[in-house]
Amino acid sequence: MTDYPWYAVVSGDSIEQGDVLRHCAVFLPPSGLLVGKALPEDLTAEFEWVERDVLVLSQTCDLVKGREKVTEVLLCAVWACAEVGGHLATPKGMEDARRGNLPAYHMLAPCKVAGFESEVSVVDFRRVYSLPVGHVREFASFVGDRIRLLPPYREHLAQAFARFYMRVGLPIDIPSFI
Amino acid sequence: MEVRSDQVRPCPHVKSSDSPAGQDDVLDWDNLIPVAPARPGGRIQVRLNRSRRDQPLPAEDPWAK
Repeated sequence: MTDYPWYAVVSGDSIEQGDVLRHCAVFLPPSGLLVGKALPEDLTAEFEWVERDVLVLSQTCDLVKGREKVTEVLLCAVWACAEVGGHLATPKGMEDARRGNLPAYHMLAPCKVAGFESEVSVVDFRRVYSLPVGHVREFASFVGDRIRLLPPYREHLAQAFARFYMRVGLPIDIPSFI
Repeated sequence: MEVRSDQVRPCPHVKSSDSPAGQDDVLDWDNLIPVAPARPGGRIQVRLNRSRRDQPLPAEDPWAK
């Protein structure tokens, strides 16, 4: 049977959908920060920053260097299964996530690549961030070797995100037949 | 408007002996990790410089030669 590895090691400032950037700082503006005409030209504020392992959700074709179609990269948090709580911390929750029954999450296989070993992890579609493309390129280049999710797992992830994002809640559903 | 169950014709191929696939929906759309796992973080002072209103990226003509 053909081997279809989940991950590959990459380096440099090339960014693709499925790239994992560990220990990446994301910035959270404070609430009440109303930037508008009423504020002075220069404003000093305090932003919270927090470290995240993030995964690139933006389409690879939008991130081609020199021909970018976006100015910010869409990222979402990745958690090791051991560190999440609640339903996901239970075997039932993990199985639900594996089956795709929890659309807010997408499960990633353990990584066996030497130097990048990790257990099963979950991508958290409820925690998304954006950072400027240039900033992400610099960070990706700075960290050196890193992990990239490979096809078809990458497309599977993108499909899961699309499925979660395009969800529609019906105000009146058709009653169950059973 | 509420849809009553007698207004909906059950699928004829569904037998009453079919085991219910669970009374609850299989998908749980609302599940969330309420508190993000602890990671290093902090606060930074930032200076926000007013810039001009951002402009959209120029749209290309994909059919242009």
